[in-house]
This record gives sequence, structure tokens and C-alpha cells, in this order.
Amino acid sequence: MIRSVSILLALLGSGPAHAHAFESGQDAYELLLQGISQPWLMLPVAVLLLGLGMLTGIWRTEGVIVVWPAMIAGALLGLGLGPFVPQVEVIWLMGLALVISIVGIIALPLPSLAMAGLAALATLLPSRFLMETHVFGELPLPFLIGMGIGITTCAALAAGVVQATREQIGHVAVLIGWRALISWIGAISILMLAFELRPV
Amino acid sequence: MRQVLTLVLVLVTVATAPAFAHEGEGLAGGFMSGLTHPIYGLDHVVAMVAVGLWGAVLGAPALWILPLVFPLVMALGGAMGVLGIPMPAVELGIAASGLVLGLMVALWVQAPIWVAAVLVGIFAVFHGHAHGTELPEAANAIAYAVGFVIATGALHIAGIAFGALNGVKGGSWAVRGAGAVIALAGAAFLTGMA
Repeated sequence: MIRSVSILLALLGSGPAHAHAFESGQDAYELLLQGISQPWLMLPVAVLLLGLGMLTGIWRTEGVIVVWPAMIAGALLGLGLGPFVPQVEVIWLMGLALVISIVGIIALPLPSLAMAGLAALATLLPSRFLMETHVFGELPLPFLIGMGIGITTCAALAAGVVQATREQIGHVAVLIGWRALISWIGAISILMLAFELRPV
Repeated sequence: MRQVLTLVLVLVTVATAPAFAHEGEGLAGGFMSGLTHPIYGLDHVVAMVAVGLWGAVLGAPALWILPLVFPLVMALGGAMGVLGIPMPAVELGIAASGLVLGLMVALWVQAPIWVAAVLVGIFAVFHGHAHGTELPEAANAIAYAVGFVIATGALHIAGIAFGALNGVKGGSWAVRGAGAVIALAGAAFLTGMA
């Protein structure tokens, strides 16, 4: 009896567990790292951003230099508007990933402004998606900064790899290979769209 | 009595079948399910390798157009399967793909690019539909899609890599031989021998 009561008291006295909560980071640096990891942990977001990066590298060898400011602007807008605008669904992300894939496959020579707009949209939607239902001020600033860094570097990293291979190898087959690879993003997007739209 | 009970417990434990309760679950499980699904089916493997081989036989631009068409159209077929849209003669189409594509390689058929793309695209729908309907219930669907597309692309690359033997002296015969083996496998699937 005494043992049961003492166990019950111990349980009642315990604090909430934050193992998987956003607040699990004990300091700002941990929160920053958690934020950076978010885009990589959400597959639809990672697929879209990697596709954007590939497209940027296919579009122009040094395309990332042109569109990176737009990527940052889109991410900031998405994180800032997050609590005030409707939530973004996975089908939006996958629809945009499909569009990006098609533009990449045909290597459409988009004007700089159009490419920047596409890049801004492709970082705005995932950043809003990652905000989920959190209200303004709920998420700590280092976490938000981390998400912004994660979103832009995810795309910039892919663009950098494309740029490096194009510059270092230089063979025409490299660009063809990347166009074939970006078609995989399209294929993945089509399947993800089907999974999202299938009757439950 | 206690010893008997222990013995019974040991025997029951030994006799149990392996538990697959968590197979295919979560991100890693879904990804692995998708990655292995096309590879475990020999009928899928031979057809996808044949696509890469035929691309190598036809040369540029088919070399990259065919492996580009296949995953995209296969995903459309997969989407049909996932959404429950019925499709007739799926298994027949898959078996026929091995035979036809294998023959194209073995006989060194230099078809126009649009003919090759349409033919490959038609077969891709059958393969995709089968994968879509066979999606494991427990698998993480999104991770499954990623693994599934990567495995398909990797099989095409394997075919293209083997097709690169074409540039070596006598290599074209090795490529033709691989095509003949694929055609025979397709015929075996078609006739129910395999």
C-alpha cells in the first residue's frame, strides 16, 4: 500500500517530458541545430528543395548566386507569415516539385526574374509548411533561424553539387545526367501526390 | 513441475515463427521497402536493365531519354495503382516487356526515338501499376516512393553501364547476349515457366 502510494506520488510530482518537443534543446545552439535539421527530416520538403537546387544548377552553372537572395527572401517570408496565413499541404509542395522537375528536364531557359520568383515560392511554401500550427512567438528565435538556414542550404547545397560537377567535369553528359536525375524528383512527386490523394 | 514448465516455454519459444510487426514501418522501413521492391521481382529487374541496354544500343539522345521516360511514366502507372484505378493485363504487360525489350537489344533494333520512347512508356505503366497496387500497408508511403524511384533509376544505370561495353571490341556481342538472356527470361515469364 505504502509502496503504491509513494509510486503514485512520485509520478504526480514528476515534470513534463520534453524528449521530442521543440524545446528539447537546452541552449540556443541546440535549438539552431534542431531548426537546421527540420527540412531534412521532412521528406516532401527535402524533395522539393533538392529539386530546386538541381534546377538552379541546371538553369545556369552559377545560378545559385543569382537566386540565393530570392531563396532567403522566400524562407523569411514563409517563417514570418507562418502564423497568419493558412497552412500549406503536402500536395502543394509536391505539385511545385513536379513543376520544378519538368522545367529542369526540358532545361527551360527562364529569365532571371522568373527563376528568382520560382525559387522564392519554392522556399516560401516549405517554410510555411514547417511552421505547422505554431502561433506567433511560440517557436524560439534560434530555432526559426535554424529552419531558415536549413531551408536555404538544402537547396543551395544541391545547386552547388550540380555547379561543381558541371565545372569540374565539363562534359555534356554531366548536364544530361542531372536532367535525368531531376526527372526522378518528378517521379517521386507524382507518387507522393497519389499517396496524398488516395482514398482512405 | 517447474522443469517441465520451463521446457514447455523453451519449446514454444523455439517453435515460434519470426515476427515482422515492424517491417516496413517508419521512414527507414518505407525507404527500404521501396528500394527492394523493384529489385526482388526478377520480371521488373530484367525489363529495367533492358531499358538501359536499349538506350545504350540506340545511343544519344535515346541513351538518356529512355531512362528518363521510364521512371516518370512508371510513376504515373504507380499513381494509378495507388489510387485504385484498374488496369487490364498488368502481369501480361510486365512479362511482355522483358521479351520485347530483350529482343530489341538482342536484334540491335535501331528504332526512331519516338517509337522507343512510346514503347518503353507503355511498358512502364504496367510496371508502375503493379508496384502501386502492391504497396505494403505498413510502409511510409513517401519514403517508399523515394526508394522505389531510386532503385528503378539504379537498374537503368546498371543497364547503361553494361551497354557501355558496346565501345569495346566484341562488346556489342556481350550486349546482344544480355538482350537475348532478357528476352528468354521474358518468354519464360510470359509462358508461366518462371
